[in-house]
Amino acid sequence: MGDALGKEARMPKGTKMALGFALIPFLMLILALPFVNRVKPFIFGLPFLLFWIVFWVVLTPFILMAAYWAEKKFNKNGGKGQS
Amino acid sequence: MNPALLIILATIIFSAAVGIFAGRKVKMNLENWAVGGRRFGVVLIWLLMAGEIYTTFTFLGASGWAYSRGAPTFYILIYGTLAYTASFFILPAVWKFGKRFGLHTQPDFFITRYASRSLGVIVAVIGVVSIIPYLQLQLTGLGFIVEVSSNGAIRSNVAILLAFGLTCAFVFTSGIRGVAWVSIIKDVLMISAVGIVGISVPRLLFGSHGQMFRALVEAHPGHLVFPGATPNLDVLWVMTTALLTGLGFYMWPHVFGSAFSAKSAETIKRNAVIMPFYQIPILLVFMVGFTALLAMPGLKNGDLAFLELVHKTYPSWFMGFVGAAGAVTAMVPSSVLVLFASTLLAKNVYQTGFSPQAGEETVLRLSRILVLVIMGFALLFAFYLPNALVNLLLIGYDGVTQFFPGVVLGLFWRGVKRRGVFWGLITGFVLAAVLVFTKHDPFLGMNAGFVALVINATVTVAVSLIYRARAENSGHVA
Repeated sequence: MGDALGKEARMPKGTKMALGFALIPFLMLILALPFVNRVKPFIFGLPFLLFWIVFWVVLTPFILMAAYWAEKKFNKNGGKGQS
Repeated sequence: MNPALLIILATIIFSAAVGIFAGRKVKMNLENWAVGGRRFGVVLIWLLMAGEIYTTFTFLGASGWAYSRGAPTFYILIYGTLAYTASFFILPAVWKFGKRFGLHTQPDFFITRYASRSLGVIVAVIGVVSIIPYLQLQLTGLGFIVEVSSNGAIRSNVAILLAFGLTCAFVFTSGIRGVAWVSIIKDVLMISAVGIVGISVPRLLFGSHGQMFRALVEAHPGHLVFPGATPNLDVLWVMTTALLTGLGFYMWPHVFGSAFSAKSAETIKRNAVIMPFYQIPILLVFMVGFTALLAMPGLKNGDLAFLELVHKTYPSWFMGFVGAAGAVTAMVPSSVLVLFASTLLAKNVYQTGFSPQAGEETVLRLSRILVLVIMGFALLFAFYLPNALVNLLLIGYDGVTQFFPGVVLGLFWRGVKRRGVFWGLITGFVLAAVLVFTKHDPFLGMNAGFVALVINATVTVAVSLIYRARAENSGHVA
């Protein structure tokens, strides 16, 4: 069933960039946790740890928009999303 | 009849009617039943997926964890966000593969990609075993919500029977289209209930959410940082659990299968971009749990925190509104759970495993009958053996996440082999079950399912490489 994967062997530039963008939420919401595990300072009334998490959760859709844009602009076929 | 009761009953009946109406003009075949004819646009896909994500667990569990455990509950906010990020890459590829080979279910994917019917049957069985306790949880949750919010006017068994009898009816007639339509009602009610309560409760009792948090830090200094009130759930547990559940989310057979109903890969990619916004109401749910901890400490069951606080703070008709939202929030996820459990059994256990010559019409007819049978079983368990399946619930996520290497490597790596996926899946599933049932979860501070997933991925890759090397040595084309 190897050919089920399509013909492309090398990853297009746009996909690489999109993957780079997508790495950000994983870094900030997983790997950074031990370093932000504190109550102070309070920001917008939220304890720091909760603020940090909410901040990156809210930012993620915009990061994904950037990833979407990168695929559209740099992948030759107009992005893997086309079919 | 008190107003709360009237609101709850009317909502349940109206929702089911919308679900039945949704399938009125569609000629039902397997394609329409399981994947909505692959015609859902961005809005319907969003509603469907959002409908699956917000279960009674959101109402009761997330606030309950905030109440009794504190910061570890934050993993819920994280994992959804990571799940959508991963789905940006995974789901469009799943959709394309599904479109190309006309797939309806997750086991179909394994059968086609790895040319193995037995792998399909195994995936289907693990899927169904993971789904049924989850379904029962929705039933029990609904009974609970309706009984408390109608102030005991409706007994929980009556509410469960009525709500899930009607749920069966709209699944039976409309398939996945019915689920998507009822999700509209559910999303509106749920978001407004959580929005109103989450924003107003900290204000009413403490002046603002900031003052509520400050009061909480003073009363319970460690509650808002890891590990909160549960010393065994420290930061490493949160990291591994968020990663496990984030990767595992789209491995649930019903969530995976819903991807096929999109009308294009583009639809599903755009959906992934906007989904994280849907996480924000969870923050409000947490705030209700935290406020409850200050306002009414010492509740025996933390999962009651949301309802008890609403009960204490608002008039009874508003309680009815929250109860109605809670009821539909149980009906929608359970409708999609029962739909996929029945389709998996009919298509991937009966047809794939025992009767490959059975036609699509037979599979559809069997699926519909199984909707009633599975719901019947879930009802029996909910009424007579409420604790029998609790152990299965513990490994639900750990179990379905073991599909991850088989799905992702299958989509993006040519070198992955059937035997690699088979042994990886078996090793991962057994290891997760052993660790959980021998009370080794967390294991060395990590989520046991995550440990199993790492071993699973390693085995999958290693066995695949061994078989590839063998095939090359003997001169065969793999």
